[in-house]
Amino acid sequence: MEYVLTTQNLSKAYRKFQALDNCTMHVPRGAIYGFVGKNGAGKTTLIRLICGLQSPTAGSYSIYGIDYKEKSISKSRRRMGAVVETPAIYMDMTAAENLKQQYLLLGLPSYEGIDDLLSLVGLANTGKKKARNFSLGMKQRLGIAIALAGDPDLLVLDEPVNGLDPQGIIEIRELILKLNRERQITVLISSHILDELSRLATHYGFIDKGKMVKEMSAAELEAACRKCMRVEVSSTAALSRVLDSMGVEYKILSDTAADIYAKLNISELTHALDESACELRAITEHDESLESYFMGLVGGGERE
Amino acid sequence: MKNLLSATFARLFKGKLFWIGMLAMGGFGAVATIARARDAYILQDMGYDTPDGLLFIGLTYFLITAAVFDSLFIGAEHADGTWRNKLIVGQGKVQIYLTYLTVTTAATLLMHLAYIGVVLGLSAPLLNPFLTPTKMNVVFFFCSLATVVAMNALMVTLCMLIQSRAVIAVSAMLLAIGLMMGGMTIYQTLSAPEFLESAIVSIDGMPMPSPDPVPNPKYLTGAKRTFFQFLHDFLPGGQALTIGMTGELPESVWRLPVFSALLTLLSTLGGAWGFRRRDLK
Repeated sequence: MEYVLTTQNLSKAYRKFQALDNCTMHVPRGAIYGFVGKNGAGKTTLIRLICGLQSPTAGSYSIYGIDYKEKSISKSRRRMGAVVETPAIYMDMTAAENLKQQYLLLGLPSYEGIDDLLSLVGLANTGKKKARNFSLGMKQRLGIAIALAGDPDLLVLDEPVNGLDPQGIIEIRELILKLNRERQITVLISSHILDELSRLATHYGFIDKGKMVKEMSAAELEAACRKCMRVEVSSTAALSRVLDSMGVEYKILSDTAADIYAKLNISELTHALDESACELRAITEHDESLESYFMGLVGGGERE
Repeated sequence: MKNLLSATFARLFKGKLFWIGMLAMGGFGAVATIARARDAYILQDMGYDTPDGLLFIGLTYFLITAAVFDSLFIGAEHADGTWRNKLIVGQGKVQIYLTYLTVTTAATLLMHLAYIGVVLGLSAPLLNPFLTPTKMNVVFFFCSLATVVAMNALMVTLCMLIQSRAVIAVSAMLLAIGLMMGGMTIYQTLSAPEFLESAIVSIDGMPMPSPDPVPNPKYLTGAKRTFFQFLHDFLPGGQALTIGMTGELPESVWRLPVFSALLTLLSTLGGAWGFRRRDLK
């Protein structure tokens, strides 16, 4: 598999705080790589490093196979665009003026394409409105337009839907999918909004306390997210006795609900519960969410 | 770096800040010249009818101009986070530093020239010609350019190394006022007369005016005077006073551009090194 971005044991310490600890990551070409982690897990630190805003304290990374210490890394960086934390835009300029600045910075020969870029991100009608008067969603989209100005092959987005309203979240999601499908842009997107990420990502990297816990494809994740039966009973105490006697893995959710990670004969279960004077009220098939998988992975929840 | 320069100059000329600075310095020149012409009219034959001493007086306040301009121009980059766009596309931190030094140097020089241009333009019809030798004005003009470059280099170092726009604005203003006050204090200390002409001395227990000049205890001598003179020549606050308020060309005038160049070099080396090592957010 060809990787556009790889990190090898990348570490970053701020004085005594180890923000990134031997983090190894592989972003395949053409992927939407969901970079998942809690707040403070090290997602933004890694993005700051690969964008050249900060230098690693140990380890290395390469973009398009070029190590960050090589001089030609600046050429590789020209092939990437990024929005790190908040969009980097001049607040006293219009959307078009901000893009002109980026075009000059990139040394592009003309301003052709600015209108197309503004249309692509849905800012074609902003006219003379200054960026400071934009909504958060508009600023975010302008940030993405600036990141796209150099026609990059790799787009790095750090928490792009943070603080957006539902409409804004949908717009950004559709834009990312469009860029990936129509322009074959590889996207590295960090987020702690897992449900949103699960609608986009083709690959995942799970980070916790600065360490990469696991990398996997969406297909692998789907396989790993086990299906379960969610049951509602009159007493989970009685249910757990029955399930223990059957040697089945389960998770108690409340006094009356539990997830069972096995295919059980419903008649047998009903009979056993009946003998324990426990009423079975409902059974539904349930997929383990990305969220619960992540929590299981980083130790946020223990299965019994 | 060519692209960086081109983008940054475009931002400079597109924004209002630079033009407000030009207007402010040009306006200051106009007010100063018109006030001199009014004095010449009211106080006839009192020596106020020439632009002497007017041409470089703007330089003594120029630290404030540089502090305000640099803190707002560079502070916006910190506040809006737009350094990131530059670094992400592969520009180096040292290149970015040198670009901002170049652009702000050009801007502050143009503001300084706006003041001088307005003074020269208005004094021609309103006042009599200069009495001071042309050579002195020319030499001081080139010295003033070097001083402006040094003032700006110092401000750029400060503004590039601090990441908060509010802290930059306060720090730059404090540095400007500190350098101006320091320059004034050193200038006054060095200007103290060696002897006091009308000192009161005690003769037979009675306070009497001294018949002879008395050595001034506040007059600096030896190594102390050399050190104060060095500070006066080295720091931009002192240089501005020498150029703006001295009526004659000092023998050691060559020290001014040399020290300006040294200050520019040292602050740029330190600033670029610090900015390169700095973790940007």
